[in-house]
Amino acid sequence: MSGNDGSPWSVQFRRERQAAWQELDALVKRVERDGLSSLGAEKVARLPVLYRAVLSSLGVARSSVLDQNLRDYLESLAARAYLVVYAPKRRLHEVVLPWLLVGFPTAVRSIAWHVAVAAALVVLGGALAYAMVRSDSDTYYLFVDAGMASGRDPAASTEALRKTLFADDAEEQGLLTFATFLFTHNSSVGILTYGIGFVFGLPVVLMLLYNGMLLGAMTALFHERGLAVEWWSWILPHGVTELLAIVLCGAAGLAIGQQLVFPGQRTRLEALADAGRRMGAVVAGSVLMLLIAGFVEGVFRQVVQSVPMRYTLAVVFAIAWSAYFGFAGRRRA
Amino acid sequence: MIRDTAIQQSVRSPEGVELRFRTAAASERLVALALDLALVGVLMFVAGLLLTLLSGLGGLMLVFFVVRHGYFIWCETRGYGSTPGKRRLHLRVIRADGGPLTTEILLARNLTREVELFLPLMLLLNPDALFGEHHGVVRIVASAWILLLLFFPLTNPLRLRIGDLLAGTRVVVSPPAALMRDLADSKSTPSAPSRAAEFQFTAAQLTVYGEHELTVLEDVLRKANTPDAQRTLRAVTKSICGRIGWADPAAIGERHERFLRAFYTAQREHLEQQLLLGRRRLRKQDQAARKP
Repeated sequence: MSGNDGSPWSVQFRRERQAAWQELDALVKRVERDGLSSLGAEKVARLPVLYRAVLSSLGVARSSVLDQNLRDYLESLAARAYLVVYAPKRRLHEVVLPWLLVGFPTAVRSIAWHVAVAAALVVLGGALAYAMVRSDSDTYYLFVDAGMASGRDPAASTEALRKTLFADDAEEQGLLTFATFLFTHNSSVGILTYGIGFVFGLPVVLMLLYNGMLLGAMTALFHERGLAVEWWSWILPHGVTELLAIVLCGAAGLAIGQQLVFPGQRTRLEALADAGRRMGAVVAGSVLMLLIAGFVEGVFRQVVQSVPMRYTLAVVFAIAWSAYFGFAGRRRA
Repeated sequence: MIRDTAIQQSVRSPEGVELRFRTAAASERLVALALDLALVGVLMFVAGLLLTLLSGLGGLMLVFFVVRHGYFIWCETRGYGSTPGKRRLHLRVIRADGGPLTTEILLARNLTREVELFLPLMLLLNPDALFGEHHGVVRIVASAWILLLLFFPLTNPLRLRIGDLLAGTRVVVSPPAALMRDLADSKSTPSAPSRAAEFQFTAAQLTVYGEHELTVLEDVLRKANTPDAQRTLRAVTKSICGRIGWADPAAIGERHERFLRAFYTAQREHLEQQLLLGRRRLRKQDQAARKP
């Protein structure tokens, strides 16, 4: 079917459609520069219509148009329009609330077993270190290095140890600085745990064990000196949240490692990407939890010295997290 | 030396159309990253300065943390899978399976920067902060491992970093292309000939060349206004005349461009018509028109 002037049929094809292409081109350029919200409602409605028109032109051009420039142009236009049409949601409220109310707790429930295993690893490491330190207090130094201990070691007197539980760590730095330090440090560790999950989850196992050991060794020391009640009142108010967050990050790392080793019916890459996406949400949530924990540890614990109050807060947090992960985002039957 | 790739990859859009992209080269990604990191540095500096003036060192660590992680997540979410540095080089993040990008995906691919980028950077800038009291073998093994993470994209042809693996994303180049005038359209191009005009080609003369040669000719004609073009046009005209057995090459005289344009139009008309009939001829070496 050639045009009556002897020109290729694609000349006519282009004449009929290029106005639509150029309209889409202008829209895409504008969105790329200023965002979707810069278009009026009318133009936003045109976007998908024009996009589909260009896709159909592209299909025709690929199969039967021999103008190379035209084909390159349509390829590029379709690709750019696709990226604009299937763009991520950009408004904060569209993203954050659904994730807090549904996405995060649901993702955590989907890896309930991994969470259990991660928690078990922490407990295992803790029990191991506890037993070793109780039987020979010199082994304490295997688990806790000098910087971490900062005076909390078997050489210290009981009175000195008691002091560390009620002293104001933050005196020199200011409460918020201390809280911030704790938060950024813990979050980096948590994110790290997620990132290294892809090495078959092995480093994650070590990290969880080590965290447990640290806790177990210190626990052994304080138990030995008869400071058990005070020790747990010092650890638990923030520890409930912080340990849970670290366990969640560890579980995320384990889940990723598992998908890599046992991808099931899918290819490894597909399995990895699927787990990676779900676990990314878990880790982001954990970072938020660590922010809370850092605040409790850096501010609340320094201000509140009463043991019963500290336990109360720990219990409140434990109940709140159980309720949140147990029930938030479940569909009503 | 590691060669950069020019690998094409395609994703299937939700409409079922295959969209083709060129994989971003490692060098392009490195430049984009450097630009972004420079911006992160400036942001940190400005925020740090403001905070120090306002309230002392209190929030500094928090701001650094937020900027370090927030920059990429925020920019890629707001910028349709593209940070300022990426946009400069026309780089885009796309999903390997063609679906729409979500915040979840952008989180997944950017949280891993902690392991892939910031940890190795820290190793290079201040190893003591990382290893503390550890020495010897521990340092060497850990350093090797961490640097391996940094160079991971060079180990695969798609230049995937670990974040891309975990998020199922690819980074591709998507530059804008200009729509130039149609060389065969006499209405949009005043000098384009119509069939009644000066040069007529027989069916036999149009079966000599294939699509590849047509593309080359298009390229030559699009460059017809550049300084050296006349010599090229003359040479191409001569070669085509010889090949198709044009009766009277001398009569063309200096009208090379008009002749080539006429030939281009007739050739494209012929090949496109053959395509509509399901016959494809890719190159002149192809003896007969092939069924695709």
